[in-house]
Amino acid sequence: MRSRTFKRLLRNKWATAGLVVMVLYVLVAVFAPWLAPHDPTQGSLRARLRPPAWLEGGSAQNPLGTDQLGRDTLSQVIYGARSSLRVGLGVVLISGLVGGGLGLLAGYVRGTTDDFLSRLADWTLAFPFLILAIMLMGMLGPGITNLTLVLSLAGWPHFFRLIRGEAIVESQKAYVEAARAMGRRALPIMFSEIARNVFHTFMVLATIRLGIAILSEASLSYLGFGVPPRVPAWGTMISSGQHYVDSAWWLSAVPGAAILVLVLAVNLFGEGLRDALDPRLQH
Amino acid sequence: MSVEFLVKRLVQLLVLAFVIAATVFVLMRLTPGDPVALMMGQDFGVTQADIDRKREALGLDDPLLVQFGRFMGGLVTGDLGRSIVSDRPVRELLLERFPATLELTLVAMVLSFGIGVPVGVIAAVKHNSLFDRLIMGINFLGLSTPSFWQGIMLILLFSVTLGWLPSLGRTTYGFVPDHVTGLHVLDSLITGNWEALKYSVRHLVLPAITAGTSYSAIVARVVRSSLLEIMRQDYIRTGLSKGLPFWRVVRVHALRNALIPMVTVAGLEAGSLLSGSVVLETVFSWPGLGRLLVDGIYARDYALVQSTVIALCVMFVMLSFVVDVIYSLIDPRIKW
Repeated sequence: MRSRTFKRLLRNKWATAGLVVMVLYVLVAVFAPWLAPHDPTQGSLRARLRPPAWLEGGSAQNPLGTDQLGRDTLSQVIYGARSSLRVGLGVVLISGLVGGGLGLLAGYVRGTTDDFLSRLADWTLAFPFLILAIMLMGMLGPGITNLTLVLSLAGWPHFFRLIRGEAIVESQKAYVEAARAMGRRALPIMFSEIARNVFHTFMVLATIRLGIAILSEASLSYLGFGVPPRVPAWGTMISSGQHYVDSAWWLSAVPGAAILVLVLAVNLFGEGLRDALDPRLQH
Repeated sequence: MSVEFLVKRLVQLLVLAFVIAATVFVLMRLTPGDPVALMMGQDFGVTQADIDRKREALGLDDPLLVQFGRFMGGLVTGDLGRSIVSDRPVRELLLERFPATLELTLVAMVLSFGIGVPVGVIAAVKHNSLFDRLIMGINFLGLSTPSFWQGIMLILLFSVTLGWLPSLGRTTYGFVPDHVTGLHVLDSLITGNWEALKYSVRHLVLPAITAGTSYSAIVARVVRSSLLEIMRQDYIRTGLSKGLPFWRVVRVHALRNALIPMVTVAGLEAGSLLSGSVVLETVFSWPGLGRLLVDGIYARDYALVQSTVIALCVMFVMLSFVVDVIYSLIDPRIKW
């Protein structure tokens, strides 16, 4: 990223806050074993359904309380960041590379390749993706790899459409013509010259899709079709916490708040990034 | 709108429906595991011979193309097979659950436009005011909230803490209105069953608010930004400078031109409400198509799952068709 853009981004305090929170979440996910006070999967039956520390009956041992099996809520939330970020970043990476790569190809080469890929993207978008994802995950069974692939399958057309449009515009510019005149081959022109110039647009979409991917992961895990039951994940926590909503509200409230803050941070950063890259878009 | 356009779009719709059905068929066959073995379970003395017999009875040993032909034939004639778990025709189950999803979707859409349009208009007119910023802030929060969690938090507040509203299901036992349309609120109005009306509405409030508010954020955003764009146009300035009242210009000249993006959002919204119904109906134990799909997957009820998915997908595709038709009706400039 150009330093001028980055400076403009840092001047936007909301976007900076979003960036800081995102970095914090990543650090929490990476250092989860050192940060979590307990093993998130290990329960203690004597400490079942303990309320958060500041409520009556709470204990400093479990600052955010425990669940029906006596597992520490804080530790589960900390480890849950791993599932969300792994799936979220994985989906954006895979769907971004596949969709973006095919978009560059279609936009530069045009012709039959473009027709075919565009049709394929349109067909994919014609499906209500959450329903398709639920069906696929229901049949394949829960799993982080399955989930990442299924969500990427639904996500690539968004990247494809955007990058294809950009690549068509870029292909007509003088620098591409110059590169071609200098005898550069199609592949380097596409994946180096044009890719460099559409990278900013790509990043904005990638941020938006990251928020959506995190929310989709949570929804699918909530339904039991996402992350496997033994792996701590926010969606799963909310789902099992819902059974105790009348006696132990923190079990569903805390992980949901964790999702909300992360997605809010991602969206704030994305909005700031868009404004910084193209100040004209600002209202 | 030309007949040619309608026919062309209808053909596209049919092709798309065929592709959807074929995709679902292939995906269901590609997934690992023998459905019959899963269905019958390993214990209770089920032998391989039993499984083989069942496979043959269900026609699962036939060549894939034959199975596909039978499957498509069934779809066309409306024979969608039997649900294994409830031992009833799938078609019956779909028809029974559809009104619940429709009712929730309709009420949620009315709610989201009822909130979103006025809020978006005021935010645009009072551009950059405190109200505008507040609205955009709440909007941003709404877009970042997982709606299923918002639903549970509403249950926590209104059902558990305050005890005002029921949290689960569509009616209270014993207060189901006589079946006319299947939409409970409408049915109780038609039959004059006021008790049933009360219970139906009370059950609708939380799920409808959950679905409606998350979309009112999107509606408000779109209305605001398209109005801001339109209010800068010359004809608006002309209208204002020839002395037309401000709100008349907004209502008659600006809002009408903001209809196109609003129809787009409405179409997208109805589509995602359909998808989202799977999650929200689970949160509120709402007996609609989404809930039927989830229960079908849990029970490995293949016939039920594939038909429900196809039904939801086809409804989704039909929505985009309706949106296209509405476009050409409200904007004479659009021609195909």
